[in-house]
Amino acid sequence: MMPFRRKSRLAAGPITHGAIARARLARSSRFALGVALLGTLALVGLFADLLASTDPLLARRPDGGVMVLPALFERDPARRASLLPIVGAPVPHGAHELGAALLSPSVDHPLGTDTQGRDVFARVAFGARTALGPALAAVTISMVLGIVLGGAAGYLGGFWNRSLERLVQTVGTFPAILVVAIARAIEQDPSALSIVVGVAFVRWAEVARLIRAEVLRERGEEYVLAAKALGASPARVFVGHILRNSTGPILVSAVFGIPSVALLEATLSFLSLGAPVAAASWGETLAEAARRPEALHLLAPPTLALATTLTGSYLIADALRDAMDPKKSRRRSDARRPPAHADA
Amino acid sequence: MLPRLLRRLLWVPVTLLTVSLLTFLVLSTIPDPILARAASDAERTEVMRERDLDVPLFWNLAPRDARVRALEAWKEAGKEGPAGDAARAEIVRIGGAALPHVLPALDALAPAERARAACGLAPLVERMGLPEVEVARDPEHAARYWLRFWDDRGIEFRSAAVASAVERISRYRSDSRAEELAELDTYALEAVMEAMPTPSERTTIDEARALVGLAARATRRDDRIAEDASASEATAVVVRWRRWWEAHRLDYVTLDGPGRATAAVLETQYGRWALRAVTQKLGRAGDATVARELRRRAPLTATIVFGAVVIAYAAAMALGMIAAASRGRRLDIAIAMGVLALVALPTAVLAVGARAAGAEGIVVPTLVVAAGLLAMPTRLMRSSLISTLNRSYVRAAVARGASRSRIIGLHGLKNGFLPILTQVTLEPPAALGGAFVVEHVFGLRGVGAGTIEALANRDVDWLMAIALVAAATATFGVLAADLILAAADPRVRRFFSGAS
Repeated sequence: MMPFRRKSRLAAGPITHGAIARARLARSSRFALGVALLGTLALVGLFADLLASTDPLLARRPDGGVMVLPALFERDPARRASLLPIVGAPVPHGAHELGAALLSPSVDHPLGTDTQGRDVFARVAFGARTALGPALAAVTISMVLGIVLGGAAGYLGGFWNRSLERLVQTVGTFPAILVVAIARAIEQDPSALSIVVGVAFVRWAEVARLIRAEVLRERGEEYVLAAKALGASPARVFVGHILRNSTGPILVSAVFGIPSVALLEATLSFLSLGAPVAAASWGETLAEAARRPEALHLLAPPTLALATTLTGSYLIADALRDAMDPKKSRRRSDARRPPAHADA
Repeated sequence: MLPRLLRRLLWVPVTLLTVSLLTFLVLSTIPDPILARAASDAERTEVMRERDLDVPLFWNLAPRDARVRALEAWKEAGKEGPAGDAARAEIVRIGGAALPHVLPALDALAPAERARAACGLAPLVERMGLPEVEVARDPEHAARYWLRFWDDRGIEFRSAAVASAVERISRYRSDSRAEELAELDTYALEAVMEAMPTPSERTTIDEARALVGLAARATRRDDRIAEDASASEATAVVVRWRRWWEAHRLDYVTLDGPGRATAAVLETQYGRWALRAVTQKLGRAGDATVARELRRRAPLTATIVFGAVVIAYAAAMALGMIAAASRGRRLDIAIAMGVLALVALPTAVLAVGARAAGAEGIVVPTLVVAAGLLAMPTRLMRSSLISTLNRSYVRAAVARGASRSRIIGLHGLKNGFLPILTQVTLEPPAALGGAFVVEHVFGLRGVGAGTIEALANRDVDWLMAIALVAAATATFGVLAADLILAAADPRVRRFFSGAS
């Protein structure tokens, strides 16, 4: 059976592994749902300043002209004060603005306020930034570190391979929560940096282990030998052949990494471990909810945000794994048939 | 198999040493919150000493012992003004331990400086209980007095003589012998501190009282054992003195060659911690030791962590089997969704919810942590079972009419178990975070609460102990998993014995 029978574009070009995976992803409803969930959160985080802010989106200048996003384009506070707001942000409150405490949801505060009178919607929207930004950075850094170190060790073999094995085992013994908590304590006024550095320190080992195993396995494969025989440099063999064949597991591990970092950040802020955070964080709002369990409007929004992150990432990772599995040449729907037929 | 196992066991201390060095390095960069709270300069100096911040991190090539400190102060001791006053006060503080270094250098000073420096030593005469207080205060005679003092008594400032004197006093405790030792002032401190017993019965309390009295007199640190003190009160005093001595020892001890080499390693932040960890049961935690505090707190946390891992993996294996048996059908999807929903709810939310519903004790917190661990092993079990079910030998078994439960239970479980085993050893460090959360929410006094406190105070002893215990647990866990793997899988066994 052909891997898939999808018309035009593929018929024109060669059927590569990547093209198959892309086509499978495009068909996957899990992937679409996951991207939608995670993408919404990412957009909320990215544009939190427009969604929740005391500054207007549109304002009229004294001379009659209209100004878009005065907070961004008008730096002079005196002139900014003279502007007349026309269209305000959907939620006219910032993440750090204090007001009446523990208000229930209303038009002014769509998700109510927390124990310090800060708008919960603003906290959660800016919390998306705190959760996803560092997660993305930490996962990327650990991926690069892991690929370089794991690839080098696997390729060089011998002493380097053994040293990396030891190092990976040693790093694996550090509980992530302790490492990041210590990083936060070092920073005193915790920013995203402590999360990024702490997580990268723990996670690179996992990626390196993956890559190393992959390199060790692939090193003796015929296609690698063929590339070597053709005179390809080690770097070219690694990047062009071995790495390309291990993209699947690395990508899946990276996508799983994002919610785990977001969860870690929430846990640390929940416990205010290391040092209290200044930035809005889902974990911090959860901690407020823990003190006031009867206030559901405090508990639900950050829970939903975290659940969305987790579900979205899991769906994407799952779809990615299926799409990039080279052994799986069947469609998913084929799995319903009894194995005896499907394997033919 | 055995040589390889032994080699791996030999690597365990190396790993732990690396972990301890790395953790210590990182912990040392945390700004000290207690130091930041110190109000005055004097308080600052004292806090730095008590928290080992006055010595380098790993390597102390020039340990500042009594000799270095005394000679440094001596350079200024002849001068007028506040700098000279401070230097003279410093020499008086170092006391008898400074005399063997400064008195032979008295002659080298110009007359005016010599008189000032010698007069500055006058408080020592009083402290030593010598009668010539007036002479020592007189600028005309002070220098000559001290030169004669050193000619007459220099011979008593020998460590062997001091050690035997201290031994005599702790054995016979006569007042005249105490006076004899008092004349040596801080020079006898090292021997006194080494001889100081931990009071348990009447005789040792008396002995400790005599020695503490001597130490208190020489250092003017007024912490003595009262006449009617009980054994525990006396012990508390002795423990305080030992802690003080740990931080201040180098002020009163002159290092010889080997002592200098030892101090290069031990008189460092890491060295002091390591010494405490070895001799004082992992270091100090308030008035108790870290080991005792861990024994009190760790069982709870360990129960939650390991209980959660066991529960999660048992449930995951069952769920994975059911999912694999019904793959592609509604039940499979329902299990996947259910597990995802459990994992998507953060541990903190589940814990807060359970707490609000009135749950107490340790079972519910453990289940809450377990819920967060469920997804990975379930998926692993399912996929490894499915890949087994597609193998030809399984299909052959199906063709021969083996029942589904036999196939899943026998062939599937046997092969699906191994990846699960590798995964399970990675879980406890991850589950620790969940345990911290449930401990916090349910108000359980486990390791988590202690760690939050320790981080707020930069309590190096506690944090190092946690890091090391976690590292040791993880290392031995991986080792154990490898052994089980080797026992279960002939391919791995061959790899282990080196005959691949």
